[in-house]
Amino acid sequence: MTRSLPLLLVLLAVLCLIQVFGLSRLTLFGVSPDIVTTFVAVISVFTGQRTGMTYGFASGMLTGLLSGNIGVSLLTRTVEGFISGYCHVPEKSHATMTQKSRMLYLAIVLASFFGNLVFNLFNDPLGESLAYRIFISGTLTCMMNLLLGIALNKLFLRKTLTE
Amino acid sequence: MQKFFNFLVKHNAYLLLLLYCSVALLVIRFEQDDLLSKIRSGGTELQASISDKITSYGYLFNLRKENERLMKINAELLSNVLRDQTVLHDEKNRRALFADSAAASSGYITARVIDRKFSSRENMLLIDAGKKRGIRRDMTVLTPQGLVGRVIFVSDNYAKVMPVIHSDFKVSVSSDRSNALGILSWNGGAEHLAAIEHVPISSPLKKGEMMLTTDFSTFSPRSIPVGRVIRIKPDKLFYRIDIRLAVDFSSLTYVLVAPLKTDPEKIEAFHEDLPQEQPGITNPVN
Repeated sequence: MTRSLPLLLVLLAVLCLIQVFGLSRLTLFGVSPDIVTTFVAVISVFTGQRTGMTYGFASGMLTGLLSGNIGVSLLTRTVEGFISGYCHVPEKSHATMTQKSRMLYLAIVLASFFGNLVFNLFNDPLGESLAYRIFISGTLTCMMNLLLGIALNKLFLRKTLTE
Repeated sequence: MQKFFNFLVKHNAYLLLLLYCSVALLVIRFEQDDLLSKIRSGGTELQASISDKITSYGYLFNLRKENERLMKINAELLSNVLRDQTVLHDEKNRRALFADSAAASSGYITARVIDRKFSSRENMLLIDAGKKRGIRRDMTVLTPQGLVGRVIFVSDNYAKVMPVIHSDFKVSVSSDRSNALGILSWNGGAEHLAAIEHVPISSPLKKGEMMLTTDFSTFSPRSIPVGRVIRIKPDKLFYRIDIRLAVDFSSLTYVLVAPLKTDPEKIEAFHEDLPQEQPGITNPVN
């Protein structure tokens, strides 16, 4: 995975565009799925905390530029990369595919929850209470991103997980 | 020295986190600065131009419906103009009262809403008019139906609008019949409802009255419809009032941008007694 760095960067840019112009419009109770968070979690799980954080920082820069909220976006994505890095599965690990999948899902949930937490500490565009934003929006975000992660896992990540 | 390097190697993930977070916090702190503002402006331009292209395809499919809606608005406006002309003709002596609004209406700029986001992450409108067409920060955005919001960020060709349905948006309003004064705010929830705060219990406000913007506002021209009172509940000192907003935010396509209300003396006088504000942060009650 580390060898395909340019490809991953291009993929990251494409996913940021998909997020800002597509997925951010699919809202349920003011919450939308976040493919960039899912991607950062995937990178962190397979390549480690530092690389995950760096990808998170880069994706924060891109999404921040497009949404006009650079600082908060940088912070949120960096934290997402860092948190999901705790679920890192080393390349030479003997973990089974199911174990790797579980770590991936856990990373997505953690990244989504903490990303949402950091973002909501700085932003409140809909005027909801902090508790609502952290717990209700956080749970919904986690669920949506988890569903997205499961779909991505089933569709694209099987080969990577079996390696 | 060896210990220091060992420390760096051992804790490099935390140090990297610290570095990235510091950069992010610095960016948050200096977001209003010139360089970052230019970068944001570039980002807004890029986002807006892509959104413009995406939405323009959607407009093609809705042209017929849109034309019908505009025809309806034109008919309403025409009848309003005819009625106003008759009134003006008959009451020459009262023309002075209308001079202010007549002069202001000459500088309205039409813009198309090219993007709209309503989520816990972002709540704003993007319009296809920017500095080049004379749009400035704090200009009022409206439709013939009523107030839409205020311009909060402008790039060369596009502008971001904070809608009435944003938790940070506040504007001074008064009712058309009883002249009861209050402050409009939106506290989340349904996007067609908002609240009026600080209306005293002694006020004669009734259900069904139309709330309009007042001259107290530092950015909005007066008498722009905001919404109609649908619920009044007495509290200890003030009423708790709900209004149905005049503008349907779910079907906004074209908006008007009112010329900037330039009354520096008034703003200066208003701020004279207030503590010094932080740069880039505007007074929430306006």
